[in-house]
Amino acid sequence: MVDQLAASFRDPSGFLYRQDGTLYRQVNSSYASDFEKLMGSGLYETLTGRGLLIPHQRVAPTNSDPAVYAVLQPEEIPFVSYPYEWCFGQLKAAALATLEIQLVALDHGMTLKDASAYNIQFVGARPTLIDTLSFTEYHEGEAWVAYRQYCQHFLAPLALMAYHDVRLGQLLRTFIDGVPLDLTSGLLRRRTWLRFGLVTNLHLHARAQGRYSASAEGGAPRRSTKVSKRGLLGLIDSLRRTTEALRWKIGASEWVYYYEKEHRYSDLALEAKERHLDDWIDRLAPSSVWDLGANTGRFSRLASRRGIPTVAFDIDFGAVERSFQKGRAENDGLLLPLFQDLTNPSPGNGWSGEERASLESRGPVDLVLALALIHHLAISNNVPLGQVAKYFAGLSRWLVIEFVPKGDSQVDRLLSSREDIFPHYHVEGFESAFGEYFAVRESVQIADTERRLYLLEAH
Amino acid sequence: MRCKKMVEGERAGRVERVVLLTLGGWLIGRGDAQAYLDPGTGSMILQAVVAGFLGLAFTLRMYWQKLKDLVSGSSRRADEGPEPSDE
Repeated sequence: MVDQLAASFRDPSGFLYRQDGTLYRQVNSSYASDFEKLMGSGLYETLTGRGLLIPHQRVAPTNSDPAVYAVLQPEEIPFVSYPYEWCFGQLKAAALATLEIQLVALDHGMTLKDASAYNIQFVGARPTLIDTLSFTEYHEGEAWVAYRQYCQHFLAPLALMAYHDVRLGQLLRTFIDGVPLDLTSGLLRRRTWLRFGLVTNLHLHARAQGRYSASAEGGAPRRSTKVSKRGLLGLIDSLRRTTEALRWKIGASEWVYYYEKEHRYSDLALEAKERHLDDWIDRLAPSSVWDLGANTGRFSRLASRRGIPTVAFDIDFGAVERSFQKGRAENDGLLLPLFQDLTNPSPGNGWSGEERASLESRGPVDLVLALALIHHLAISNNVPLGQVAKYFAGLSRWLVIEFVPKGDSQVDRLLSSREDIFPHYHVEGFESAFGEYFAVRESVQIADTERRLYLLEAH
Repeated sequence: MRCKKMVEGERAGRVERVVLLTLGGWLIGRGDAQAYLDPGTGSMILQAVVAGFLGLAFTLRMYWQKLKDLVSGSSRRADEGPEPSDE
């Protein structure tokens, strides 16, 4: 039974499907000549050699579709993430990778026919193109058909994040085909008009779109859109330099330097917590880990350093950015830091609400870590402990969770500005609520603190 | 009579527009059989205009870089002798 993936329907060149649990990509006959050029021109070898394109094996067709030309079995990405879950640095790295791929493609007589941020996935800190069918033969004089998409998917959100507010990257969650350029141009500060690359590729681009839109008076006139190869290289180079120049400086947010300055742990407590985690991860030997509320990934790395693909989710953009930059510096291929607000996790999105998967449907995972997180969900967001337990039980069989009781300075701080309406928020209440969904396999008091660490297994 | 002529004129105009739009659509579609994205007319026109300028700037920058490499290369050679070769 061929199970076509919900995100794979736009491009008639082929599609992704799962059969007996294995991921395949069908190449349709209409794409045959471009596919052969990709494989025969050296482009595939160059890009996969540089880690810029997902490698694949060509296999015998596993279905009887008359449109089939070839079937590929691509390497699988450990965790599929979306641009609205990336920090500034990840979106920028994905943008620059797209332009680099386009330059290499042009060098081999091909061009990218799309520049969707969703075609880029991260293997640890490394961005890679997952759509093998994104290339088409280049003919001298052709403009870049993906120019608009590049500006909407990458340049617009990056400029908004760099010049206005990093949270504006979240617009990508609403605008599934990238941030509209008229909206971007209207939001960007006046000083962006002093930057040539932003004026041309965003501000004037937005105006050109408005002027020549099909709904504009008189319709869309045909004008020559011939672009020489030199012009195209100049355009890609300009986009690269404009993108490269966009910077976001990590502010001193509450959580960015938590483990250096703010945390309430003594060295003794931190070492004890790490020792317990080391022991449990070794014993469970999970094949995948999600660390929820990971901050900069200090504890996530206990798993990824053991060779386990690990996703480190956090709500703080600065913490995710720091974790990503550390991963890049170390060439980390296993730890993927991502933005996630657990009080409003990524929903199913796009066409039929399935094109982009919800966080939960990208699970389950072998092990979830929820360290120093429970008070943020139960007290800051008023989620009853039973509902927290139910949600976690849907994500993973194993759960390592830290209970932070009242009396702990972090919990007292949350309660200092509000009425305490949480009479059941104590160790007994926690154990009773989680006992509905999990069995306690082990629990330990973390040395030098009032906190307890639990190893739980879902019923 | 006059009224009928106007109606006919309008109809002819409409037919002409449909033909032109169809032809235009065909011309746009003909460019690249594999283009499944709508590149956006405004985006393509702006790109054509901007790329003309950027292509020139790109070439000038390339020559400038070559000139700089040539100058720094010859001064380095004068200072340090020939550069080591892999061969």
